[in-house]
Amino acid sequence: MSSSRVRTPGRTPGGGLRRVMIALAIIGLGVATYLTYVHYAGIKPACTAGQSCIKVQTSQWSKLDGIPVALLGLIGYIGILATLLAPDREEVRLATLGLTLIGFGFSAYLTYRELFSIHAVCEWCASSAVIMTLLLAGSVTRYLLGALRPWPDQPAEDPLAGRQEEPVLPA
Amino acid sequence: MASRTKQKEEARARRLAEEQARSERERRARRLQMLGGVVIAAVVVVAVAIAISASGGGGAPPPNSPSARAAASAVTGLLTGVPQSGTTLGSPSAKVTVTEYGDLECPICRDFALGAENNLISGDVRSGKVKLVYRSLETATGNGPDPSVFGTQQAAAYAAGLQQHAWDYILLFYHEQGSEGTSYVTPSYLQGLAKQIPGLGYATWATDRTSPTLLAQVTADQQAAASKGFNSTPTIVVQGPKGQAQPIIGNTDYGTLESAIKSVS
Repeated sequence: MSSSRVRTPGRTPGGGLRRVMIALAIIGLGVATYLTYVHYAGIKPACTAGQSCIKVQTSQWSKLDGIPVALLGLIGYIGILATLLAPDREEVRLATLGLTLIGFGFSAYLTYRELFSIHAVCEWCASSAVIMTLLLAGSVTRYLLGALRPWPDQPAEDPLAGRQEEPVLPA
Repeated sequence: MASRTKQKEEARARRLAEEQARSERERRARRLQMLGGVVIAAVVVVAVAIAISASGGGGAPPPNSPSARAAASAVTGLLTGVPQSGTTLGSPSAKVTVTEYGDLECPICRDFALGAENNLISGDVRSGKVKLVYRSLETATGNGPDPSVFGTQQAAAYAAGLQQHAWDYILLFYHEQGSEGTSYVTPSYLQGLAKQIPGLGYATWATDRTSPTLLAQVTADQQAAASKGFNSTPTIVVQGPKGQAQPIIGNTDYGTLESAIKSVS
């Protein structure tokens, strides 16, 4: 039995999209880092909408079981960035999809709380929600692109390798 | 011979195609299983996070927490340099008076305080055009588990007013409200707010806040509101040289407040 490498001509499916997602994740990481710093420094976040940002940042929904949501977001963005920088494999793209799905789901909930419970919108939080939505769309697209097209450098398996050929009956 | 070889090749090609189709089906099924597993896991994680978030809270932030410090910093920054006397904020000679009838536990009052009222203080009050007066009117506290705390909490703000820090206390209370309908207003909570106000003599405040005079003032405010037919908070009354504008009920935007101020100026 022998296996041979198959090189798919052309670039890695979704390579450009991956670079865009890395850029988005870095921006999101910056936002989360700033909000985490603001939280622990006990200072007011920069805000163009009056007291909206501090209203949201000091609300009961700014923490999850005592842990600042900003810190959770920071950890999430680091995880997403790590999967985007890791070697491109189907499992890694699935991990990106899982993390962005979690980030999107919780961001959507927090946005709901901003609008209907706190009645204020923190522009930093809104930015992060938009970034997470774009990252989810990107990760779904990348996963589907990988599923529809063959992955490069995958060994081509010979399904019949090692099997004895069946005798052909005479006509 | 050639025909035999050709038959073998055709049979092999058929088997190869069948095996490839089977492998592809198995890969697709495995991929779907993995995808389904990841989606289900993500949904479970988000659901647990939402459940924790929704059940947590209810309490006000501890006085030394980063969020409390941020609120105190915001309030101090807003009020520094603006004169206070009792529950009046701003220049005594300001021609326009904006009176807020509020309940410190009222979340709509909080929305107003952190929104339009914040703009009013930083603009019109600071410039000397408007003075802002606080009066007590029970709404949210009365619907909560312990209505009897209303007088105590409002008097706590009035006690800070005896040291020209009423509005520090009022705004800090609004910033650090707990969940409506919960028993977060405890003596410890009220004391914690007082300790966050720079320049407030804590011992004096602690004595003053139990004064029957201040409790009587809270009662008098309520009676005044009732005589005017006010029963919602916030109710905002704007008075000036040209008379009194129509009372504004509930939260409002700064533009509406400015229009009312202009109409009486």
